[in-house]
Amino acid sequence: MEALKAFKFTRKNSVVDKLDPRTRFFVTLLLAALSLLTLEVKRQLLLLVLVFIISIIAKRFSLLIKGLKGVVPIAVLIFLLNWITELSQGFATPLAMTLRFLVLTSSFSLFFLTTPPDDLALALEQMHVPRDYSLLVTMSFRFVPTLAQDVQLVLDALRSRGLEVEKGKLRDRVKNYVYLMVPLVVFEVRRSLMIAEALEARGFGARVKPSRMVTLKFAKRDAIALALILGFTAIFLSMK
Amino acid sequence: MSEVIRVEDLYFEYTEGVQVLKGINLSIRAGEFIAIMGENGAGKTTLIKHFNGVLKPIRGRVLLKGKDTRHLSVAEASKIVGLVFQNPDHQLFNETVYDEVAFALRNFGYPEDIIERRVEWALKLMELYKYKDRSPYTLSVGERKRLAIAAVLAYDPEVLVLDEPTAGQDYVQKEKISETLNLLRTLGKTIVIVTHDVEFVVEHVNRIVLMSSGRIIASGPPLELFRNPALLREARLLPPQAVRFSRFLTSRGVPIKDCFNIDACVQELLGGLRGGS
Repeated sequence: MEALKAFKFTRKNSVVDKLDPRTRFFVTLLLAALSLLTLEVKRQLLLLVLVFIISIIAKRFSLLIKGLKGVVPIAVLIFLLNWITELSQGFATPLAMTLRFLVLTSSFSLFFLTTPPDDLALALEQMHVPRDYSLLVTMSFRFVPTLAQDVQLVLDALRSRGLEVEKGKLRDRVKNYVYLMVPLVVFEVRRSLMIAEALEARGFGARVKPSRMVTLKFAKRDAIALALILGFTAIFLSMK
Repeated sequence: MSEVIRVEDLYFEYTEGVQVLKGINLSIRAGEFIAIMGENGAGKTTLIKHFNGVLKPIRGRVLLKGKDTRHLSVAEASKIVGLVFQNPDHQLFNETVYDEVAFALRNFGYPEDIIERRVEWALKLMELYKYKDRSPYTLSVGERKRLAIAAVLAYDPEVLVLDEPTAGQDYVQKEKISETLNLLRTLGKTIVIVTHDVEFVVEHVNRIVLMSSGRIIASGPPLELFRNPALLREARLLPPQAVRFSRFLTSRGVPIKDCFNIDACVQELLGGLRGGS
C-alpha cells in the first residue's frame, strides 16, 4: 500500500506544478530514456540526484522518499538476482541495475506526484490520444484509492471469519491472498461494468467531440525547463 | 444480565487529526437487541468494527466479556462477536455455499464432523441448504445476504452484529431477515444492528443507540427516543410514519396518544371515537 502513495497526486504550490504537464511528462520520459541508455553506476547516480533535486524544487522530496521506501524490497530483489546470476561480474552491474530501477520509479513517481489526473487527461487529449484511452488512464488513477478501500473491506471481512492473513507458512499466506483476490476481482469487474453503463448513460461515446473549458498552453517557463533539461542531456551524453 | 460488550471512552481516527469516534461509552448486556442509528458518516460502522477487534481504539478501550480487544486477535474476538458486513459480495469467495459457511469453522480448527453438523444447521436455519453445492455467486442478492449471515452464525458467536441487514431488500426478504433475527433472540443471542430503517426498529429492537458526528447522543427504548423530535433532528431521522400520523391528527384537533404502528393508531382512533360518542 505504501508504494501506491508514491503515485498519488498531492497539491503543492511550486514552480514544477506551474509547468505544463506535457513538459513534466517529457522530462520524465527523457530521464527514463537516459537511464535505459547507459549502465554505469556513476551516470545512474547522477540521474537519481537530478530527480531528487527536481523533487526538492517541487517540494515533494519527503513524499518521494516515503514512496521509494515502499519499493525497497523490489530493489533488493533486483540487486540480489542480478548479483547471483552473474557472480563473476562483481557488484557494479547489479548496483547499476538497482539504481536504474530507482531512477525509473522515482522519475515516474515524481510525475504522478505533481500531475493531477485531470491534467494528465488534458495532456493526453492535446497530444491527440483518443479520448477512450485518455479516459482509461484517468479512470485507473481515480479508482486506486477506491480499490485500496475495497481491499481493506475484504480483508476485514476475512479476518472477522477467523482468517489470520499474515500468519502461517508461506504457502498458507499465498493461499490467503487467493481468498482476497476472488471477491475483489468479482467485485471490481461488476463495478467496471456499472461504470461503463453510467458513462454511456451520460453520453460518453457521442459522435461530437466535446470541447474543453481549459486548454493547456506552453509558457516561457516551459521553454526554460526544456532548455535546462536538454542542456543536461547534452552534458550527460558527452560525459566520459 | 451480564455485560458482553463494554466500550469505554473510545476514540478512533482513520487519518491523523480527523476523529471519527469521539469518546464513545456504551454497555451491551447479554440478550439485548440493539439498533445503532444516525446520519451517514456518524461513525456507526466504525464503531461496530471495534466490537470484534478489526479496528483497535487509539484511545479508550473495548472489552469483550471483560477482555480488552487490544490483547485479542481478530479471530479470538470473532468467536465472541460475529460481524456481518453490509455488502455480501465483499465476503463470499468460496466455490460452494457449503464451503463458504465451513470457512470460518475450519479457521477455528473444528473437527470435520462438527463442521458438517454446524454448516447443515446454519444453512437450514437460513433456508439455503438446498443450494449447498452451488456457487455463492449464482444466488440472488437476498440469498447472498442470508448466506453471509449463515457463515457467521455457523460458529455460534454470542453476539451477532449486522451492518444494515435490511438495506436494499424487498419486503419479503426483509420479513425473512426479521424472522431470523427474532429466532436468534429466542436462542439467547445478543444482536446489534446498524440501520436507517425506523419502521423495522420500532417493531423489533429494545434499545436504540443514536449517533451523530462520532458521538452517542442518546440511548434508550425506541418509543422514548421517537417522542423526542429535537433528538431525531440532530440524528437526521424521521420518526416512523405512524408517529407522524398521530402527531398530524393531534395538530389538526384530533388528540390521540403517540402510536408506533398502524394497528396501535387504529386502536387509538377507535377508542377515541367510542369514548367520544
